[in-house]
Amino acid sequence: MLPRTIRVKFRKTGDLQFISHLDLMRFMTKALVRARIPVVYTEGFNPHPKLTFGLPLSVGTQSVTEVMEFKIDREMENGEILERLNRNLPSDLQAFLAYDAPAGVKLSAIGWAEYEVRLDRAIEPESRLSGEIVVQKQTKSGEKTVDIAPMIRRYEYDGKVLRLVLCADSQNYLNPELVVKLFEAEDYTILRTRCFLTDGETEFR
Amino acid sequence: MTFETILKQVSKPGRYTGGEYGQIVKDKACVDTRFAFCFPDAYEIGMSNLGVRLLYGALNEMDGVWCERVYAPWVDMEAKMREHKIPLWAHESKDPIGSFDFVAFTLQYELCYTNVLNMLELAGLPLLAAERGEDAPIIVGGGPCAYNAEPLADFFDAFSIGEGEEALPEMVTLYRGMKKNGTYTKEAFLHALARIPGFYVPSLYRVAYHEDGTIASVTPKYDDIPKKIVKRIIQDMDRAYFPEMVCMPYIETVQDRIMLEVYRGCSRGCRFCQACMLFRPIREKSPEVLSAQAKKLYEATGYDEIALSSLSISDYRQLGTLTDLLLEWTDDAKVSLSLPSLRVDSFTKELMDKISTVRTGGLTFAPEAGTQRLRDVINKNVKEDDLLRACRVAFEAGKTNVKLYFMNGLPTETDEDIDGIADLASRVVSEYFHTPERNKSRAVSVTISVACLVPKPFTAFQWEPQDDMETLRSKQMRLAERIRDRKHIRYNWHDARVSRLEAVFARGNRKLSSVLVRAHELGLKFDGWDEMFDYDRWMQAFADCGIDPSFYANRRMGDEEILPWDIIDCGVTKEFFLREKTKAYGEKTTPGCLEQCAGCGANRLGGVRGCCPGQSE
Repeated sequence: MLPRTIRVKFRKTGDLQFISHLDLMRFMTKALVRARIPVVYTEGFNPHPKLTFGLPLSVGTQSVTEVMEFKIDREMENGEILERLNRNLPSDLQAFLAYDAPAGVKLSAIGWAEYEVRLDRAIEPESRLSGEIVVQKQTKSGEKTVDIAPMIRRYEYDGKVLRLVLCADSQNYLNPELVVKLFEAEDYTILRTRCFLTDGETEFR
Repeated sequence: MTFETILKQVSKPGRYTGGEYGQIVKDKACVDTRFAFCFPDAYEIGMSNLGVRLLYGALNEMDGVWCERVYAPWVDMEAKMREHKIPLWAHESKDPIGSFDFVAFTLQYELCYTNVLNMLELAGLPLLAAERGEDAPIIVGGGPCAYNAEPLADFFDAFSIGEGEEALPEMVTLYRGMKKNGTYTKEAFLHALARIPGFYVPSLYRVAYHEDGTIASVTPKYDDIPKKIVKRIIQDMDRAYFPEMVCMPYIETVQDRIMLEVYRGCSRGCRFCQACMLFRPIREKSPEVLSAQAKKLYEATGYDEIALSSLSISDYRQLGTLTDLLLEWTDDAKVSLSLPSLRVDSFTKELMDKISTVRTGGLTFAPEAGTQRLRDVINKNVKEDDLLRACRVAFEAGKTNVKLYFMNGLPTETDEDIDGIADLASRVVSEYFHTPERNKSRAVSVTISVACLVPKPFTAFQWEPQDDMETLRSKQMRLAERIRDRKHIRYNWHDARVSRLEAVFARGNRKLSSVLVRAHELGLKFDGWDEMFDYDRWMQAFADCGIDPSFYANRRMGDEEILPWDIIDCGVTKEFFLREKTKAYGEKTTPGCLEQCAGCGANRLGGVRGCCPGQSE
């Protein structure tokens, strides 16, 4: 039944972590055109493929759980959409799933995000992540002093990888780098691994 | 500290990652010649350059040759590179370019010269050609400034003059051949290169000076190298190399669209314009070829805009056919067409009606001078009636912003001419209010943007002195005072100090190399960027070297004088420039080539699909 709403999950890793969210959106738009996927266009003076994305990803953070959504107005199998798209994407930006968007679950329903952090040294997360955690946060109106403890839902550390579940709704988005900076490591990598709904437990699909 | 961590600490890390879609990556095991193509400015500027796209593709067509891209690192990344001893690398492989076979620089404008030196240093290479060893890469320069490369002569091994799509591969083939049959030494190679048409090897020419600093003679060291280097041109643009894919930057650059080069050269012959002369004779591409090339690029890239690029798009004789052919598929594909640099007399209702999807690059016109008299002097054939009519067409269509380009410091300029700029802008505003169908919901806004004339080699004004800075400043102030209607007229002017520096190097000779070294030592770089330009420090560099910049910028050069760029033959003859200079002072215009041939001499170089007498179609 057309038009169909398609969700595509993709990875953004390696060098592509340094491309901003806006740059990514512009690039994906062109990739869809190259792939000749029959995406529905916006109306108006300057029509372009109508594309929406899930959570923005900060520059410097990698991800294996990015999602974008578009409608198609001509029939094309999801498998073919995936294949065509990947032929037109670089290796650090590959899609791995194309599926019909489930009714009732919007992109804006994402409330929490899980990250895997690898640091160049051993840490003691309990010492930094208990009680109040006051940091300087950059907002649109300047720098603000904020207690980010309520935005850290849970964390786990196995000696190598620090797993964090952080608030990701549009009002209180917590950039994982703010947490990582508490540990004063020189080299580190941050990877977004899963997204959850506002209940913090149900994985976003 | 990993490189990844460094990238997280600098602004716009996307400038340095490489990995762009459309980049060309080759297997090193199958490559015998490494070529670093350097753009001596920031990544965003370099990725928008059409010439680099062409040459990158053309060189990579050669099996066994790998051409990679290099850009000037911004100051914050440069600091990290020096701190962590990271040498300048090529984007595709991330390999340091100091060990490549060729390091080429495209010289787009004079204020990038300090960046050239800085990049050589960051690559670990001695600046002076004479100090570089047998194993150092061959340093080549090209682009518009190569037409007077004398200030850079001591730093480069060779310059490619003119269009490089065929010349550069010839140079690489010569190199590979000599390496293969064991005859290669740097000296032998450069001597052989100097015998390939279009290549200027400065170390093989001796320059002697008079007491007064002007050139006494330029003598080739060998009998078998040319006394004058004739520029290279592509004869048939339809058969010229054209890439079917482009390297697409992720980060936003100036040109996020397909640039379709429609024809080379320009027929108008405005007397201040160097580009017009450098690209003569005119050579057009056929509409069929253009539309096919554009379609291929669209399918390969997904860009939604095509810019019809040329010096004066309205003078492309098949513009109607081309737009018809393009519209056959661009409308459905939702690709818009952009026609930048439309001349005032071609801006018609018919054009706007026919091509509703065409973006005309905003309303920008370039009268360049405020009175008809001065426009005649500079041979800019823009009549005030045409300008006002074009504005009326645009106002009727609902547009309210107009940008007008002018220049100060033109020869024979008087106070009346300065005032004329303000008066012309007022009449445009007045035209708006006399247009009944105008857009009344927004106020009209006319922006006057005034540059300072930089006398350029290979123009009728190449002998002219640039106004000194006091004069330029007082002219700028006079114009500011004359503009009363600040509600509707905005006035931007260029920094005269920047223009002065451009003028020095545009008409410079080899003596300026010491100034460039000193400027580099003083930390000057990115001189074309507002936040980096440091005029006082430049003046210190000149003083430290005992060189007076006025000799180059503000001196009227003699008709009989040997000019530093006389070693190059750009097609157009010196006799033509002298004739044009005389006509300028006589306030007489010269019609464009499409109307009547003025005998500029460029037709000697041939070319297909142009308008010169004797050319084939």
